[in-house]
Amino acid sequence: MMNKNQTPRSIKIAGKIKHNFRSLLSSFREQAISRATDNFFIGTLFIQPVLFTLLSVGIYRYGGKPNLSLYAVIGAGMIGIWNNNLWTSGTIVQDERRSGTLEFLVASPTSLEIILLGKSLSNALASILALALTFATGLIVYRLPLKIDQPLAFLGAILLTLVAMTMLGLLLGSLFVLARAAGHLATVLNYPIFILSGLTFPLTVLPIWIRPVSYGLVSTWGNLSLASAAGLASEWTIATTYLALIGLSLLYFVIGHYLYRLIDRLVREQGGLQQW
Amino acid sequence: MVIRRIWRTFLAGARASIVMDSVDYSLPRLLGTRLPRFILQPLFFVILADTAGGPELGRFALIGNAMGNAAIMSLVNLGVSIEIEKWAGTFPLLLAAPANWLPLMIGRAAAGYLDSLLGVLTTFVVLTPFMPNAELSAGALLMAAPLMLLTTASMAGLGWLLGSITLPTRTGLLISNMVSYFMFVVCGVNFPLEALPSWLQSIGRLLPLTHGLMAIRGVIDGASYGEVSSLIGREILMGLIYSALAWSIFRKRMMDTRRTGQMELI
Repeated sequence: MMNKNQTPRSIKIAGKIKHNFRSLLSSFREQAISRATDNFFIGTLFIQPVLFTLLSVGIYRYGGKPNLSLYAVIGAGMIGIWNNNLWTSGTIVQDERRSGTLEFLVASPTSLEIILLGKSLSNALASILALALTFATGLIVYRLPLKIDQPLAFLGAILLTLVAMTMLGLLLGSLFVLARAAGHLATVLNYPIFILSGLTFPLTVLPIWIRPVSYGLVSTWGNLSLASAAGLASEWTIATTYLALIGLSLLYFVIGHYLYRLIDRLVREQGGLQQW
Repeated sequence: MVIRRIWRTFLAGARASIVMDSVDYSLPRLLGTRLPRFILQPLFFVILADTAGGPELGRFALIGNAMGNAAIMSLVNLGVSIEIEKWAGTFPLLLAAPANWLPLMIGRAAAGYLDSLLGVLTTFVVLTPFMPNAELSAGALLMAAPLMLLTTASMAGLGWLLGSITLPTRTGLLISNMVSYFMFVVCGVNFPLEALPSWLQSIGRLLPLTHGLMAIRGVIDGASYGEVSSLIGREILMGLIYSALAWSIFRKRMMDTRRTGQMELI
């Protein structure tokens, strides 16, 4: 028999979901506003993809393989997507720490995980613009015939890459609570990821023993998925690349979630977030 | 007496830049950021060039990126060293100091030269053994070393110019970085200049890295200094023009700030 003052469990859950959704939206919006005034974000999102497209397509054209230009354009787009996620999501915690707001966020009743998720989603969504810019550069500067064989599958690949990048942002954000050198790590991770993911060149040029590492990266599968949907020859079907992206998203989410729980417990028990 | 004072000011600038830069040479920073940048960025472009045009284009990209990376470090370092004064709050002190700014700023480029030399050395030492077909002998690279220094110095002139132009803004580092990446496109770093549309070639020829890099490639391939003298001449000219422009803009900004007393606006 339910007490008159007791709230049914389903209403409580609905209220919690509503509260989390509002927190997610507000952190999404806050990240979008702070990013819009960040010079580095503007540079990495709007200028770097254009320059990487000019470089990679230029190299293929000079090297006598203009047929790989579309591969270069997609790869340069993925470089832009990766760069934006790594720089912005990787430094969410660092920025909060520098502003002196990290402790408040950890102590507030809303989980920091929800805040990180909202901010990572905001970054991932904005980073997709990099892909549009690389295509525009290829079309305008090199007048490339950039034809996408399966537009719907291409859109699906973009959406799944977006989800996977958000989960990666969540994972990095949790990890960076414990790392003050997050900015440096972001710098160092750039080129190894470009190489390991085969961004702008086929993965087959890498030694075979490196491939397992490549296949653990969301940027690899995002690139392969986009390339397959665009009609470029690939040893993987679109369905396989979708499955890999979904699987990696789940894996990143689970690792990110448990890592966050672990770190949250650790900093609360020790009461010393500043020491990290 | 005057020469001695100028020399001491130069040394003070050099010491300040090296001390500031030495933070980046702690073991974690060296292993974590510097060495990967010296190795991984050139490696990425070498793999891309090798895939696109075979070992010959791979070799072209190796020389281009080793030198391009080093020259760009020199550019960014000097541009940033001016910006750092603002962030550290020492700019008004520099402004008020009676010392001559010219030798001071030339000294400030010293850390950039050292970084560049270390960068070139690391790139060639680590990556050349993996490219047996590149035929890059230590002797040929040593022959080209003075040209590498010259190119680095003229790039420092451009870095100083960018730092002077962006002095009243908060975008100095961003602009230096973007100009650097742009130079990788238009200065013949990864593929010859001739592969670009003519208007981009014209821009490339107005930038200091282009001629220096051509001269370096020539000497590495066996040309004498006499054969590449016109390229060397153009590189020196570019360096002088950019440095003169930088000095005039920097001096004017400093004098204007002193005259109007609006240090906070910088």
